[in-house]
Amino acid sequence: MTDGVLLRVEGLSLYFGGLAALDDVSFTTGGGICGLIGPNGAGKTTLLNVVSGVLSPSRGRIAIDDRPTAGLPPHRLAALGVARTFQNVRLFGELSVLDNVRLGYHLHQHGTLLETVLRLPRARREERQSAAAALALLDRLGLAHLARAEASALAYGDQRRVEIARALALEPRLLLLDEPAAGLNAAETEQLGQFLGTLRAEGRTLLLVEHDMDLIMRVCDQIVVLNFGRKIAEGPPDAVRHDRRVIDAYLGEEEPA
Amino acid sequence: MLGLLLDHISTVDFILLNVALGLSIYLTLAVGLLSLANAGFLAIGAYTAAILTAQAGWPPLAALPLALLLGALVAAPLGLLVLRLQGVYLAIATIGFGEIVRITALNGDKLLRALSGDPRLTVFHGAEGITLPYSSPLPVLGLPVTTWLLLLYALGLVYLLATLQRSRYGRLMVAVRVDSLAADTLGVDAVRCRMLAFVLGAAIAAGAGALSTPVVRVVDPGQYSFGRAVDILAYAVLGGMTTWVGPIVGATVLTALPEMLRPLQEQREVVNGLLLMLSIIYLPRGLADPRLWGGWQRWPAALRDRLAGGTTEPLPAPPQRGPG
Amino acid sequence: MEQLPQQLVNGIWQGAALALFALGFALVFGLLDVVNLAHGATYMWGAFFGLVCVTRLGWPFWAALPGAMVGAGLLAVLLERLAFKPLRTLTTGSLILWGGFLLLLLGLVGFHGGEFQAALVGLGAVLMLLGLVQDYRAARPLLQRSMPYLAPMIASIGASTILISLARGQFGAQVSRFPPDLFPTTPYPLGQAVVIAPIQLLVLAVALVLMIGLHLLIARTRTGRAIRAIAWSERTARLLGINADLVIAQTFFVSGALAGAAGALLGLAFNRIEPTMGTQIELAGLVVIVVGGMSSIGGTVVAAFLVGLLRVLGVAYVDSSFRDALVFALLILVLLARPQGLFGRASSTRA
Repeated sequence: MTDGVLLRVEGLSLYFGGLAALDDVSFTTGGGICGLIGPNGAGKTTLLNVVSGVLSPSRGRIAIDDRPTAGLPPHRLAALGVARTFQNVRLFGELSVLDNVRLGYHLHQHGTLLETVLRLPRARREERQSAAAALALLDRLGLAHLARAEASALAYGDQRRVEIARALALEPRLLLLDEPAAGLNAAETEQLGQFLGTLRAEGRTLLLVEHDMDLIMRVCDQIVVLNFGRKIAEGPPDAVRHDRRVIDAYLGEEEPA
Repeated sequence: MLGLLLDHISTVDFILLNVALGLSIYLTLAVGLLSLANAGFLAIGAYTAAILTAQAGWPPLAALPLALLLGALVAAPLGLLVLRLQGVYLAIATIGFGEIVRITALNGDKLLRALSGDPRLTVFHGAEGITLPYSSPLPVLGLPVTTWLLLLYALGLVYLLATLQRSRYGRLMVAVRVDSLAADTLGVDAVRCRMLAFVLGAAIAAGAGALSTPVVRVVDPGQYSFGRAVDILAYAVLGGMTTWVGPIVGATVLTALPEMLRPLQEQREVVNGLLLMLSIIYLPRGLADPRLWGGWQRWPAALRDRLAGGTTEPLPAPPQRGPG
Repeated sequence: MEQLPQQLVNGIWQGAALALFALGFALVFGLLDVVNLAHGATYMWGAFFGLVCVTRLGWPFWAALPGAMVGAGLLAVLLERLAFKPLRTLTTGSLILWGGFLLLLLGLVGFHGGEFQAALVGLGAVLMLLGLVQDYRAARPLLQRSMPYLAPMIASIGASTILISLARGQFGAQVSRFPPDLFPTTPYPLGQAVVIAPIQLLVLAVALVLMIGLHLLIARTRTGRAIRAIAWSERTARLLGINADLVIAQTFFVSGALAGAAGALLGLAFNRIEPTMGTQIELAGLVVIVVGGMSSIGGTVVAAFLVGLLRVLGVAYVDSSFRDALVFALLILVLLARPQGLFGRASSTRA
């Protein structure tokens, strides 16, 4: 990370046919929690999709640690340390909670197919390690007791947290969270906020899409505001909170706290 | 007991062969690919072994490694071509591949004669196929060698797949099948995973083809048609696609049943078709569904659960329609 | 080996018939996202229905053709209720229908003549009818399921096997033919060295009429609009009050009717009807819908003419045995270069 910048987005645009889902968006962030807000349809999830490689931009550049990443497929970005969660939780329902999180460790396991088939020591050792590490992560999120449960059987809020654990198993430098507080009550949101703080303390950079303004204002170091695919404001929470353009954009939907 | 086995040794051989084939398609289904190409790979392996036996006197065991290699070599470029296609399109492309293999075998001699200039070159024998000289297989510990080979092959495959399923690769395959996009964001290269399963499945089918030659004794193109590919799919569908046990059960039932129904020739086809329909509609998770067998007190609930096998179906998600 | 113009003419009328068949395929795929692999069997049964109309009912061909279409259409609806609908919503009607179907099959296949067979078949048929009605009127299904698209495909494969086997049992495995004087046979000259037989002209004419009719159906009628709505989103269509199950049944009827028409026409044109005639054309039809891209009638039609021409020219200029290999080579080529088909939308084929 050079001079505090991990993620650099420049002139990012994405067109679906004639519709501009993203229009010339530029910002940088690094070392803290960056909130991404805006009314529905503003392009927040689209931006996450582009940064994580799910979509390719029509124009513009993205760099992670000065390394250009636009157009790279998601698995390459995961190898570069970018992890994400989804707006509609996308766990692998058939697998257990533990196995879901273990999948995040996939990149740290180097046992080859042959070693696995022949049950050689390295493969077996890595399996034990991945299970232990996954369990530790689940414990951190208070979900260790659900490790053996089938992921699809969990309550929605728990599923969201499992998804976060799974993303963390990648040991990401950049973590993209898409509405992690959706469906959580006030107490749970408070806990989430504290947890995000600990992630920041670990040196991770977070990009947080959220509608819960309370949470955003509390935990974010920096906020980027989108509307109709364009960036309309950027800055620390206090500045954004009182920005005329932001208030106008939200009029009729939600008001920033 | 052994006597009973020997009386039906041909059936046992076919069961073992079909178990191997069922496991080969299970591998591709496990990563979410509906590939009907395995009959084509079966043909490649069978013809390789048959030609080597007929022309050069090689025993099937010697042809096995060559068949495995050939299967993998053909599968690799084919996979690169077709694996990026979605569900139905992939199925259709693999059907096309199977047909191309069959037609090539059917007209192989014409091609060879044209290429080599020798008008009497006969290797494939067209529609009538290659008939292998029958030699009574040597008994080893009471069972013929051919049966031992098939048994060891099948057991080897079971070990391979059971080990894979419980390892990290098993998780990877489920992830790619259930939600390849989410898997991608976790660093899983879905394309490589699918290629691996596809090529491995192809090699397994080709190997089975090589070992099948002493059992079928005649290798002709008609045996490797679209219908055969459907039969192989049926083993996995009937038995269940979630674990490696499924195709074994499916292959056993679908091979043994027609043998038992042998006196009813016409009805066999109808029964096959019915089994396929009934199993996919009423037993979506197959006969070998662990939930069905675990405790018969739970049957009513489990039964209802199975019929509603929709949400946690082992089959891939439908394609997205409309703008993203 | 005849001249190119003659081959072109052959390619055109055969392409037209293939287009009819492929349109039936495309209709169902466009609606439900499933490939109905029993379509070829429906085509074959259409040919047999036509044959039966002529040989056992004594009808002239111009009456047998609609007869074949109606018969095949009804068969397709039955197929939908048996194989596809239970995968969407299982109702008590579905169960009754299946019970009746099993009895019917048992009667047809398990016994040879006699009162017991007649009784079983009759009972089976009655139960099936009851089941169909009950299924249609069901207010609350037993189970609603998400429909993985592979399951219907597999179910249709099973149905196809059964249909072919039944045909074999009923009509024998040998080639059947229409009576020889059914249709005038003297070919009309079209130019220098080109002739076209009356039946071939009929195939072309009927195919064109039906294609135009289909277009009008989809574009101008309420049913057509409902079909397009369901194709876009079944759930939304239902929410808007569209009786999706009825429209789906109607679509299958049209799809089957098109296949039946193709079957009867080609059965007469080539003068062969046999239980396995559906398999080869089904494979060709698959290539057509992939090459054409499954998103428009026009695309399917053009692709059908392309494939039809390729088949004819392949037999004439390369080698008859490689005809199908050429067709599949085209399939693979198109899938490589332009996976959405020549006229399809790009989003629909990527894995």
